[in-house]
Amino acid sequence: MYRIDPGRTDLAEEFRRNPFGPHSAELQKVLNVMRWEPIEGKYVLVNTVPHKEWCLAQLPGKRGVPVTLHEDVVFTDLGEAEWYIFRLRWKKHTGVDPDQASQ
Amino acid sequence: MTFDYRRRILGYADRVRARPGETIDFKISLEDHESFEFRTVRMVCGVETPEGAPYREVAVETPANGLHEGSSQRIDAGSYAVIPAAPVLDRLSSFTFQAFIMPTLPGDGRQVIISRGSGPGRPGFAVILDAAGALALMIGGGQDLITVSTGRPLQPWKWVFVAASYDAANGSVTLSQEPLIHTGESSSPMCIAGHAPSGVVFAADHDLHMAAWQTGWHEDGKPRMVGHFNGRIDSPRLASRVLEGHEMAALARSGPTSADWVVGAWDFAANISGDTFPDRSGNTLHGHLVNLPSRGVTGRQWDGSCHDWRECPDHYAAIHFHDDDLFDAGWRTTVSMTVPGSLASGIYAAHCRAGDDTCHIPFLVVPGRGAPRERVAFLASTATWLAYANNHWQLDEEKAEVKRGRIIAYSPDELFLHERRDLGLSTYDTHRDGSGVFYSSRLRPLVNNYSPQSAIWSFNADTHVTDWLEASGIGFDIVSDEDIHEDGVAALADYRVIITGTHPEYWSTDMLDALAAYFDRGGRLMYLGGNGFYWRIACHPVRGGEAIEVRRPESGARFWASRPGEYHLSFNGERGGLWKHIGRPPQSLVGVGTFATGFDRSGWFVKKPGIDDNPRASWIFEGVEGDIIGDFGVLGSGAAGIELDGADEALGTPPDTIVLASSDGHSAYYMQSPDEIVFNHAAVTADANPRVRADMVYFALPSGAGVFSTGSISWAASLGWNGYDNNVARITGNVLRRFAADAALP
Ligand SMILES: [Fe+2]
Repeated sequence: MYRIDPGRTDLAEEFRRNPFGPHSAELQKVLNVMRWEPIEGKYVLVNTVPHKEWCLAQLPGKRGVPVTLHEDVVFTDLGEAEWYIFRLRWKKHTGVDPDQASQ
Repeated sequence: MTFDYRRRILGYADRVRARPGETIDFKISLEDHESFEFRTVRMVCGVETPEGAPYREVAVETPANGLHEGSSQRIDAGSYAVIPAAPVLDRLSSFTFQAFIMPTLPGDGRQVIISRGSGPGRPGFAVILDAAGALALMIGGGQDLITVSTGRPLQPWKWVFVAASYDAANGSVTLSQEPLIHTGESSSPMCIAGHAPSGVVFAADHDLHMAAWQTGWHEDGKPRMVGHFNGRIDSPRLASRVLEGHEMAALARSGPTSADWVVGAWDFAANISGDTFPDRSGNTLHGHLVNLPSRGVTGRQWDGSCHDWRECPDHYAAIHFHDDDLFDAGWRTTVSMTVPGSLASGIYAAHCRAGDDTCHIPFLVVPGRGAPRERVAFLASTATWLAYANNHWQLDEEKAEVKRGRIIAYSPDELFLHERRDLGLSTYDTHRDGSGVFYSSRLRPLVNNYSPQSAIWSFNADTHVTDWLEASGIGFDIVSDEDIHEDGVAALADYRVIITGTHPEYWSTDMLDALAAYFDRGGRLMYLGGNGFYWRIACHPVRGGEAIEVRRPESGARFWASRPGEYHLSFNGERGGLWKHIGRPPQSLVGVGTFATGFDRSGWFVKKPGIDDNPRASWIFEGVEGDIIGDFGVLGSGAAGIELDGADEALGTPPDTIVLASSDGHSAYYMQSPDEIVFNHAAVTADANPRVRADMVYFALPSGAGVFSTGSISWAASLGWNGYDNNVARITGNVLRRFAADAALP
């Protein structure tokens, strides 16, 4: 199984610049690992204003239980939302915030 | 401020389409409101997109318009069986109940196998799985309700013989559970004895139920059912005394029996396509089913030697009940509307509003019998809309993001559906016990994919075609899948051209035969979608298109897989699955068939070299400059996307078919469809595999018929780009004008 190398902040930077791809083969591996997460607690978005605004949310992993909305984390651009969640996941996998590490 | 996604107005209609003069009954439920405004609207474009055609509905006059009163209406989800009250049941004192069962969620709350109502002052009994999943008998009523349990939980998805008896003379209770396969201590057979009061007198005049328990009545007169069972029941039997082991064994084996102590011997292997089941005891305690539990499923006798329930019904003597099954919500009518003669054939909706809450209930007006027809008809994919309606897969499917290649962004409707599980499921979902959903009914509120203002999919996406027709000044009628299913080729025959929506995926045999007959008569088809003519469906044998059924055999782009032995549809016995595997690949009908899928962003088409010099094809590209087509649009930003169909002579593409253009520009999240792959390999993605593409094709047949196929779901979402002035709209218009004319096709 592929493991994310905390030193490869260049891959995080690639994603930040171009969240919707096409991505390099190496970044694709990172994304496969990140996206293959259990459904409970998984980060998702909720479209609060059509085509204009999304808020961060987490899935409960159980049918009928409301999705947890983080209404204080709002995006007006889907690329920004992708980057925000990418950072959270990178940190979870490597212990490092890629935004800080690359500066 | 909390984001409010809850819907306080919901509804559905009793029919999806009507002719002028026919009546549609709308059934509306309100929460926190007492009245609502009913407006009839013609749906022009069902979805708002920043760069595409604007959302548009146009108010029309009907006698139903205006303010109406309403109230909350309940949905009673969960399937069960009813055996109506009978004197022979009233005489029951001592008894034995036995059955083979396969529980699928043992330990998930108390679940009832068989019951005869109980409540304060109305003693009854129920054979149940208790909260721990162990077999138990409840007997008595109110304060005196006694429960005796084996205390050993049953295993999920394993067949077990269960029996429970009560001796009224001395109050003794016997429970036995015998798994059909013993694999260790937890599955060894066991029999326990217990005690209840002697001489319990059961309340008379009460229905017998399987898979649920009636605790009383709702105010609207419907039974209040609880304790829904999840799993299968096979060969249930009821006797009027305590049976010995050998008597139970004999009763389990033989269906019909004449012993006078047999009260009921129910045969689930009979009438599998219907909603009833007979009693073979001679007491005529025939039963019926509520909320479409799954039939045509393997029973405890299935041994792999037979796969068609019509040939070996005994192998299929099981019914699979789910607590999230739903057929007909049974709401009372709030607004009745007779379709005025002034309404032209088209796509309409009841737009209902109460305060800030709104809902749309779509309906189609089709031309009256014998009324003049347009030359062009739009085929509304009502079967596909229904297959996708109330879809939860992005919510319940763990790998949704991996499959999409993007963070999942939920609509408010999806959040609402996630909570309101009683609204029922789509054929893309699994039941709570993990089994696939066979049936979808339109007699319930359909919150997504069957109404405007949700994602660009199904109903909404299809309005991009009719919106463009209207903007182009082209008159058209509406024909729906249900019309074709019911009237066959007669529903199509009067039209020169039939235009499909973006995703005509689900076809019954009758529908496909009708389309083939239409071609034989020289009819012309514009297939403006992808993943079409893909799955076989069946309609309910009695209630027609109100409910459809689909099975998901060995392969295909699917979100659950049929279990072995369950490839045949219960509604009509036909083998379900991909039309390709049944022997009628889409390529043999429309030149192209499913090659690939992808959901992140769309590609575009590239003209085939030399196509402009081909006199049979150049007219299609008249006025189109350059070789790139559709590198724009509101669904993934391109006209070649989502689900892609290709041409393949080996799969039946007619030899004289012209491939006009093929798609390019797909991401690595575009992959071959599973039914295209015989053995695993890594090169299934668009960057490595030439079969991950759509082909735009054209062919003419000696009958005068012609077919133009785009093989792409996102094609229609590009029609409205730049005020309808673009090469996708140009090509579509070129083909339509030529197809609609009387002249022979090149
Ligand atoms: Fe599909």
